[in-house]
Amino acid sequence: MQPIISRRRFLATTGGLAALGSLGALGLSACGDDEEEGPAGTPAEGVAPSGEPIKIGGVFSLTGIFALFGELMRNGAILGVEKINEEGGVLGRPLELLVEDDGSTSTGAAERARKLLLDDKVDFVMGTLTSADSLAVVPVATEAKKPFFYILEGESKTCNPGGEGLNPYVFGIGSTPHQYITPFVPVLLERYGTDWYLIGSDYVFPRSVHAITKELLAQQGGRVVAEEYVPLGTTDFGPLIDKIAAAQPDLVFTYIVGPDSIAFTLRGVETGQLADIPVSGSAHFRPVQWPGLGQASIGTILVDHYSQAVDNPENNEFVARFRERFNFELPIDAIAADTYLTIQIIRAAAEQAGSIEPEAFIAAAEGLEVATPKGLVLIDPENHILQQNIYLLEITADGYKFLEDFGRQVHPDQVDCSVT
Amino acid sequence: MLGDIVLAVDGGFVLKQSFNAVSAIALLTLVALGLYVAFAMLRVINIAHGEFLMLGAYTQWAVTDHGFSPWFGLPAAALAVGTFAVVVERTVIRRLYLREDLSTLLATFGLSIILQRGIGIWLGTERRFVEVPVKGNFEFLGVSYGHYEVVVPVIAAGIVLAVLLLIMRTDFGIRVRATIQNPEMAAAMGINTDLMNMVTFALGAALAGVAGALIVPTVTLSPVMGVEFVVRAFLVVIVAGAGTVFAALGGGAVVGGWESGFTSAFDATYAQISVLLLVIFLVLLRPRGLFERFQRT
Repeated sequence: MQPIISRRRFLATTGGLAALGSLGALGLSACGDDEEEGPAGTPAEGVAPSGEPIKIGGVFSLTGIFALFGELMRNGAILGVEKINEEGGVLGRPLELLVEDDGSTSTGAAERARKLLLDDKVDFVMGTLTSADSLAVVPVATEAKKPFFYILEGESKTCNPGGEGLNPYVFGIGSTPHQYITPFVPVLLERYGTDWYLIGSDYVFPRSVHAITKELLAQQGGRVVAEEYVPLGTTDFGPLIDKIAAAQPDLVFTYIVGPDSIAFTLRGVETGQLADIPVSGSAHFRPVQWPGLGQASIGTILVDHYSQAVDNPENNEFVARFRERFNFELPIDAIAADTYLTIQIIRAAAEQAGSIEPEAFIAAAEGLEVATPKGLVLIDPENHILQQNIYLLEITADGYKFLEDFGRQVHPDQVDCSVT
Repeated sequence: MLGDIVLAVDGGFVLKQSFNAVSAIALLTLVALGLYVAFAMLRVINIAHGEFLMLGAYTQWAVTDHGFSPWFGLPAAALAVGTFAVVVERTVIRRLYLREDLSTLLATFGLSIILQRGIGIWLGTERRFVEVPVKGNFEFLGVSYGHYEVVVPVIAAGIVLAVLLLIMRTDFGIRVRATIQNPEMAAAMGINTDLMNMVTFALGAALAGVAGALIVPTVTLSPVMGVEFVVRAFLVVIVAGAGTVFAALGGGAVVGGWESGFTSAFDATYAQISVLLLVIFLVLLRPRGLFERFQRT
């Protein structure tokens, strides 16, 4: 077969297109990043921070399937840095936030963390969404000997590989399944019954949540009717919902995450299969998904370590500022508050230590109590996982209603650590 | 760990699972047809095919957002995506014809990235939703079916059927088949193969666009929503092999039916793994595709 164009012309054209393409991609990515990035403004009052900035690297999923999460996390961080800088910075120095996009992949997360730590020489790394992302960044931060704050709730990742002892460089900001499932299971058993159908997205987090769920159910007289996982990115929930309907459980306990959770709930409503079957979970019903499934889930109860409905001075300030700064009307997800309060924690520990030198910082952080939008938190000296309050919430037509405060929950030792 | 094996003793339940399988096949075939035609006719491996689906979904959102009926959105998506595909064909695809090397993969992969990022930048990352056009559900043999749940495969199957009729029974169809089987001879017989290529590529893209518009009320709209479908569509093409368009249907039945059936009986993750194993096995068995031998000479 004769080629339609000559080899030379093809190479020249492709080369030209590739060059153009990469310039374009650079341009587009620069455009994307500059939009709302970087903390704005100078302090309104008080002493302006001066000197060499303290650099905080943020690894967020700004593109790809978790883009919505990444944006909220980034915005929380931006607001946090702005507030701290307004109040004089940390140890008199300004904070600087460097944001990198991991493209919703864990290889991306590791890469971006490496860039921030090795090229940009940041003093702290924060961010990451899925457990896979966090696990990818842990070794990178550990090797660079810089503190890493992983944001999203999930199983513990602060242990050394093998599960023995504490990796001092890692801090868990979000709550662990132990912290929120433990008070939640008895409430669900009492409200709905004992026969549960467990479902979740197929990766480490939902599986570790359900491992704990099963343990608690066994202790408290519950029964697992079935346990099923669906791959991330599933859009057709017909077969799963049919199976659930056929089994007629007392409760569907779901840890399907991200956009998949919306597809599941909407499909359930559409087919009417789940009309009489209660559904509950936490990640499945989080505020990021509320716009999609909120109206279809009114009355559903869930737990979270944060809600905009939590009433304390820190949160009232955070919610008001977040809404104004980012023109944001929807229910605020925990991840935005968590990145914001991570900055508060960094300041508190640095001021306590009088330095940002990792060893001193870490020593000062352990046992430190900080007032945050999600309540008074304590950095656990044993496992670096925030001791934090867990709240029982209910979905309403406008957002979330506060039902109950389960009090401060502590994650036990290094139970269920997923670092291998 | 394998999930519970569902004992299919209940007729209504079995019927629903069969319905799920047929539904999955219909939708998958609709999506895969366009990819298949591009491959069989143009030997172009269009990795950006999933983005045609995505663009169709966004068109449906735009249509309903402006207050028009989602039923109008279906032909609108077909038209919008088809037109866009003509532009793509003229600028990118036609330069890749009949090259059986990796350059088509690279070019279409680049196109795919550009489209995903482009839509993300242009329309932002906000979640967007399209309301289900027909709400409500009905019961049959003790099992609940959503109205829209039934509408989607009916429309998808209808369109696939219409396309098959078009290919098999019309003048235009004869020309398409001729161009697929033997482009040089077809050109020698006076068929404008250049036009054929353009039109069939655009038609295939339009089919994916309609598929996107159909499914958008039940999934989350996002710039990367096409990825999941294009992978499955590729499996269909690999299984089918270059042949008549019925091959695409056969491929859809094999891939879609297997995955749906396996999910119903066992577990979605193992279904995905087993589908890939199945495809590997079939390719080893018949490297040129399952249905290649049905190609008419």
